[in-house]
Amino acid sequence: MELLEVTDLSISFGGLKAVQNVSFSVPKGKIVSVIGPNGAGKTTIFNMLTGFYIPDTGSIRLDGVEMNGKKAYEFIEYGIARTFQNIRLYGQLSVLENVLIGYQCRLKQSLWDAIFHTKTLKKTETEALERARRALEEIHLLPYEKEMCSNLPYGKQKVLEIARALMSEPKLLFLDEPAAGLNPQETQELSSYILELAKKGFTIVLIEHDLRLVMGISDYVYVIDHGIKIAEGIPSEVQHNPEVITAYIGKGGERQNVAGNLPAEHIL
Amino acid sequence: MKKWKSMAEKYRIFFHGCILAALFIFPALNFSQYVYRICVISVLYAILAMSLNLISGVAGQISLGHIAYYGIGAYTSALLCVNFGVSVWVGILAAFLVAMVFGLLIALPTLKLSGGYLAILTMSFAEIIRLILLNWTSVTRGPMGILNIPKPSLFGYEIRSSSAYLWLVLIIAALVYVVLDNLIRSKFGRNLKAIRDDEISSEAMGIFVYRHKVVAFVISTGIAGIAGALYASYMEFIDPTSFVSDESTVILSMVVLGGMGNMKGSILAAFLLTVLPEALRSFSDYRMLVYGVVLVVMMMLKITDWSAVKRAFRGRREE
Repeated sequence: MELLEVTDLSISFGGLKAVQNVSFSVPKGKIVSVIGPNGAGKTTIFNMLTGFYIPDTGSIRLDGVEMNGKKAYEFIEYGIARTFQNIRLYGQLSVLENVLIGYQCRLKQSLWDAIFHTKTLKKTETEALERARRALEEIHLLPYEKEMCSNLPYGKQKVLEIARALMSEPKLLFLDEPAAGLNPQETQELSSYILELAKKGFTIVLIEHDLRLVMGISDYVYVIDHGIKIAEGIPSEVQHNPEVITAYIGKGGERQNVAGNLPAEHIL
Repeated sequence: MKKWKSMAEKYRIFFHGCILAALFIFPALNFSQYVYRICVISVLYAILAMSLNLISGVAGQISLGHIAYYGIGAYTSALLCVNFGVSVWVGILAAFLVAMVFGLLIALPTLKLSGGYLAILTMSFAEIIRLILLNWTSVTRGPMGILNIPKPSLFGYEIRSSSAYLWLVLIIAALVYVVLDNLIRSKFGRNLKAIRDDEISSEAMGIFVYRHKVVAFVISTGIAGIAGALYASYMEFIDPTSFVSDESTVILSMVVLGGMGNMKGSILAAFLLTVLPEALRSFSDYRMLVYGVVLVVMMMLKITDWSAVKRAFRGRREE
């Protein structure tokens, strides 16, 4: 069963065709990666899949529901949650509040409940707090729940952002360059965290530059260049695809001084 | 640990009870009417500052025209009471509703903007309202103002003296505080704080940013309308000079001084900024200069932002 079906997705900004006729699908419970050189259109695709950009053509179906035309803030209710390339946590709020906001779309409270602090509010609020604390315990941040978010180390913030997205109980989790800016050890921890999530049954779509991370954990890889899908397959296939190698390091000989005499597979 | 927490909770309730009791005994203590008069004005400012704090402090949408809704409330209630002889309580309710309608009208087009654009737009709107009040003489009597606005009465007793009026405004301020505090401590308030920090990721987290801003703005303007109606009835006379844009700046500085999103801080700052110019009367010519200096020092020390003070102390102890 395919959880996400994307067909013929295109968008252009003015005269620039940023993404052209990209189709792909994401099966339930798998980790799928989208890779490609800088400026290939990966984040543009992500922004279309999460409602931030409206595609010119094409359709996005999540679990059989057409997502085209829905507003960005509605996506999370249908089960699409995301993180951002450069962390977008709420820096001035506490760690606990950050996680709580991830749960807000499932929290049924009216304005009336809020003003009069009704029983419904107290009940839902306690439930939300319990969930948030449990989520923090899983990522070992419970002792820092009252800390301001911007005081956490960078790696912790990345994990916290994923935890916040997970609070909404998504069917599908989009991670936009989760390893950007992390040191090798943090990347290692992150990849085992993502694998753990997949084991728990989450479906994950990943955009990544760190190819070691991608090749290590992905079940399936799509390669984008200049807004066009140039290859797809399991990691070992993609690694040896000549078109992919060209896209990343140029045609044979052209970029010798960069790649040196290393075989291309070594770099990918 | 849990026991200690419940002790802290008990202490908190006790502390709040004491403050409330002190506030309600105060009007009975026979101070001069001058003192009570300043207190009433401070409480009205406190209501205004708290309401502005919801939209500018908690949700981070700077409004420089809050006084307009105060003015709309004051004129609505005054005109209804003087021309149609309705009771002041109905006037207050009408002021609340009319201010909310105007709030909605200005919120719908402007809250798509934020930052500087929003600030300038709200300021311009306040100026338009002031000019209408000034020039629509057939209704508002322009610069001559509205005279003989009645005082509210309760159980056949007219709330006439300043000390009695202080009770009334204190009760309403307490209600406003409870409502706003409850709002902040709910999903709605958390969402507003999230919007203040990052609109894009709030959108991704499923928060309908625009709607939240509009709702917060409308609640905020409605409360300002109530304060306006109370002001009109207390003064018995209003004219457009009470609703100039300087006043908006004063209210905003109360919010900033008290700490963005901090309701208690807003109350404290409202008192300080109302009492201070009175207390500085002995400086005569240098009064506004001293006021300015004190304001700068207070802003730098953030003395009314209680959480900032606590943080500073905790930091010192840890060192």
